[in-house]
Parts: sequence; C-alpha cells; structure tokens
Amino acid sequence: MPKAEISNRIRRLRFEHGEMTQQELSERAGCSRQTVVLLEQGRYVPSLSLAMKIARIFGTDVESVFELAEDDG
Amino acid sequence: MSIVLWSVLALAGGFGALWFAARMARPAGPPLPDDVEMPSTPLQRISRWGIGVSAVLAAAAASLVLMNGAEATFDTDGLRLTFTLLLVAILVVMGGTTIWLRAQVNRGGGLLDERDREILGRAPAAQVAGMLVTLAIWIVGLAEHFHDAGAVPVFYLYLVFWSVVVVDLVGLPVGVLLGYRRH
Repeated sequence: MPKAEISNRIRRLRFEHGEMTQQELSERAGCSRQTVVLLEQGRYVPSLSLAMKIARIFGTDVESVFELAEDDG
Repeated sequence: MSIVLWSVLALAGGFGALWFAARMARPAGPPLPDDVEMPSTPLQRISRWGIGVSAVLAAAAASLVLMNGAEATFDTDGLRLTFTLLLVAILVVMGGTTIWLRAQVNRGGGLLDERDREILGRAPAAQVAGMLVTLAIWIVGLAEHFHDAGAVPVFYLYLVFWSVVVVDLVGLPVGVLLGYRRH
C-alpha cells in the first residue's frame, strides 16, 4: 500500500500574511500553539475541519496549504 | 519483606506498567530540531499540576506509615483517619479534574484542541495495565507472606485498595504527558 505524506506551506503563508505569529494563527484556528509548531514541522496531520479553518485564515483553499505526496516505496 | 517495601514495589510496578503501556500505545517520532520552541498546552500544565499535588499528598500519607509503623497507623484512629483523608484528597483532586476535563471535551470549548482530545482519549490505555500490575504484585506478596497464617490482616487490604486507586488516578495525567512526548 502506498505511504501518503502530507506537507504544508503554513510557515511560508504566515510570513506572506504580515508575519503572522504562531500564537495568532493558533488563536484564530482554535488550536494550541504547540499544534501549530508540530504542523509546521510536518509532525501532525490535522483534521479536515482544522485544515479548512487554516486555509480560510490565509484566504485560500486547502490544497494550496496542504499537499499530498504519495510514495510507492 | 516489610509492608513498606511491598507498597513501594507495588506502586513502582504499577507506574512502570503505565510508562510501558503508554510507550507502546504510539511509536515516537524523530526528535524535533533544537531551535524549535515547544510551548506547553493547557492540558499538559493541568496534568503536571495534578501529578505534583498527588505526589505531595501521597508522600504525606507514606510518611505517616513510615514514621509510625504500619500497624500503629491502622490501629490508632487519628492516624488512620489522617491517612485516609490524605488519600481521599487525591481522589477528590484527581477525580474532580478528570470529570472537569471530560466536560471540556464534551462542551467543545477552546481549552482543548483536536490533538489534545486525541491524546486525552488515548491516555487511559495505560491505566488498566498499571492497576493490574499493582494488584498482581500485592497478591503475590501477600500470598507468599501470609501463606502459613492463612489470613491477611485488614490493613493490607486497605493498602491494596488505595495503591490501586492512586495508580488509577495518577495514571491518566501520566498517560497524557507521555502522549505529548510521543507527538
């Protein structure tokens, strides 16, 4: 079965949105700052609702923030 | 072996099983880079606070038994009442905190996010293992020690009950903190 990895552009999007802090993003997304840190490090895959909230905060769609990379190995 | 050593062994075994079961519940990810700051979540702070308060109360109860001896503690009404009140305080603090956390999960407020709720939901996996090991150590110890007498003094039953309660109550915050360590 192929292994799916999800990467994201949250860190870049934060800086493109007026250097938004992790704290501000966490407050607006309704999650802890620790969760934002782990998302940016690629250590946590969010639920669909959290992914959609984050995308909405950046004014874009989910696939512009999160990317699915399939590895057949 | 003395009652104090059995108590220590039973609690150590219970917490050892908690640690092992929590480790097995989820594989650890690779360590984060050194320059990444990891802020604590409210659930982590509550768990540390609960473990700290429980440790102080349990240490006070253990000190009573160590200073007065097990039999004197249980034969003296004042000492037995103090010992019981200290352990009931753990029950009230940890039980109350657990009920309050469950209410937060059900209410869906801003205190816990989806990752906190996932870790909190996985934390009890270690509690049963901890309680079973604590009970097993007590049963083996008491059966060996009192085999010839054919009866176990009542205060041992008291200690068995309270050690299992302490492992169960403290098992939840221990499971939570280990859950965060496993990312």
